[in-house]
Amino acid sequence: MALDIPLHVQYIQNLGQSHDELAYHLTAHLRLNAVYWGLAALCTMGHKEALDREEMIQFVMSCWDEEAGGFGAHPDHDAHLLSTLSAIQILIMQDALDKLDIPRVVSFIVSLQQPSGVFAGDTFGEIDTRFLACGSMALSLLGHLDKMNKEKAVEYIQRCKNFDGGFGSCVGAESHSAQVFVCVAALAILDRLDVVDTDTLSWWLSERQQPSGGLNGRPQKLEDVCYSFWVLSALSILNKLDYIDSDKLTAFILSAQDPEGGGIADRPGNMVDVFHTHFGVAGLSLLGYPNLQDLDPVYCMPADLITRMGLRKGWKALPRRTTTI
Amino acid sequence: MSQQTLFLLADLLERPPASIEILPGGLKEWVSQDSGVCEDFPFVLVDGHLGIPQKVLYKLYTIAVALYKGADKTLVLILSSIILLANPAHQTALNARKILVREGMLEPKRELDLTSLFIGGSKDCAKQSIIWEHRRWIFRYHYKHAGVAGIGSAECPGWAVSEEASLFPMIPLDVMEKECGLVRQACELYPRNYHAWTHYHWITDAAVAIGASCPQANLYVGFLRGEVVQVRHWIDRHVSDYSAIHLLCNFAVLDRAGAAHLAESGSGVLVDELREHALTLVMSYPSHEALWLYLRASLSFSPSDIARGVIDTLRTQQDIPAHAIEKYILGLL
Ligand SMILES: [Zn+2]
Repeated sequence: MALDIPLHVQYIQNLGQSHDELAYHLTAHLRLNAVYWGLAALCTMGHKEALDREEMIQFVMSCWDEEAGGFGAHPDHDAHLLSTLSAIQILIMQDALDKLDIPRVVSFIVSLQQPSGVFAGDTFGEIDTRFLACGSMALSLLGHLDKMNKEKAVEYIQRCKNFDGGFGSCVGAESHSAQVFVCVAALAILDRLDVVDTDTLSWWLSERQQPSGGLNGRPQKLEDVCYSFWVLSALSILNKLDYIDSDKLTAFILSAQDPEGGGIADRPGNMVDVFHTHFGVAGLSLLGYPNLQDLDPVYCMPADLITRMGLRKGWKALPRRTTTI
Repeated sequence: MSQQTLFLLADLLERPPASIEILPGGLKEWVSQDSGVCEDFPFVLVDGHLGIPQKVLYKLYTIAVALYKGADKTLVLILSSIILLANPAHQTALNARKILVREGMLEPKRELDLTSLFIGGSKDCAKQSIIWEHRRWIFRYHYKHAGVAGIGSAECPGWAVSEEASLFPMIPLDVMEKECGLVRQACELYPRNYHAWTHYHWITDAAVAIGASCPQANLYVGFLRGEVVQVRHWIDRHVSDYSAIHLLCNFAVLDRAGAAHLAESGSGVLVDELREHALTLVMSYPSHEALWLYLRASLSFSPSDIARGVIDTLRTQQDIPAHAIEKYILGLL
């Protein structure tokens, strides 16, 4: 099976038009993130224009939380760091950063860094290494990385390192592939990859590959397409993509496509969604799958854009192939 | 389905029921044809246990979302409970409830009871990070800050340092015990529950920090020892649960650093007990990656001559594949 780019582009286009009321409302708290996933997937597939630019920018700006100085996931939802990063990523991909009140959003993000160095997701104070990465990424994309306490942030990540070389969501938490990605990406942005125990971590990440070819997030959990990105991006940043069997992983991701309606699911035969479609395509791009655009694994955005912004780090993806075999 | 049904459910949740369960499908599947319409229609209330058909809940969710905008505080209290039961990741609804707690319109104790009811009855609630964080927020709001020093350091990684420990709430020990029980309940309902186990670490982290600086230190150490035993038994019954193994190894770090003596034997070293435990389990279930990682971690905390002795023992076992020893253990030495 090959990657059906036209079908997936159509699937993403249709998402904006579907009016399944329940599904729409149940995912409202992830709407802005979903717009980012859709746009990023389209960029990776070389079809950025498939969604209307003006409409998208308008929606992003309708999620602005004037009181907090950040973005919520949906109009009338409270501001959060996750949705604020999505908004910034979308505005940059759409070359519309002039719409953003940069000083305000920078001060919102900086205000969320805690004395321990980690970031909270919002003013109520949930902490997570995900938020630390979102904060670092957003500030770096806006050219204000120097506004955060970088030393404290690195110290916090260092304290999250476990005996298996991996990282968890907070100090003491179990290693988890997605948390490994956020910690490694943040360390790359902060130019402190020396904190990583590269051999142990690369070994632990390579052990995530299952007999099906798919990757899991933790020992003895089921494989899932989204881990293609979490694991591969970390390995790519560490220059260790050769630690996994790329042919078997490629086949696994492709087998999770819906050949009729388009989109990619977490596992073959399951319901597709935009989250797994984006991370499946992102994984394929890092694996050098033909006819895809290069994706920057640190920012999970188009590589040429990040390079133009002068933010490219020393990651390596597999060379782009010209044929599917 | 009407607003009336929504208020009925909110009312039933307020009572509160002994437990709740989200029933797959609609009501049809759960009520026999001839039983007629009961007063709690379309819900099923038997001996204080409340069954909520999934389809009904989703219908009420869309009604609640539609009414939410512009609702007054009393209504927000009702609507947000329905919204969260159907969609526990709804951050804005959780924020609204925190504000109601701050404003005195919602008692912290009641909110803890309601969220534990949700966690015990809905898989989706049991696994959500922000539901557990909501409980931590309530604890921090309700109990005064411990203001204690942390024991985390380079020698004792994985545990709170002073700037974090000082903000731990002074949760009474019996409440901590109940909270650990709730985590186990959530992990039965949703296996390998990452955020539930992370919450568990937070509770024990608070117990360690508070215990280290209070006159009843022995009570806290007693509680932690009890938890070490419980987690060990948990692993015996859930041999693929690396999440529990990870926490147990964190306890070994604590014991090794001298921050709390947690060995079951009282005078011994916890890592010795864990190494024996891991070795026994690996020999019984050699196909489990989680157990090999357990053995690997416990060997990494052990003196190298002891570790080598364990490897020699493994090599004499016929059922133990040599490639597994190579893959999981040899890289360590
Ligand atoms: Zn997934």
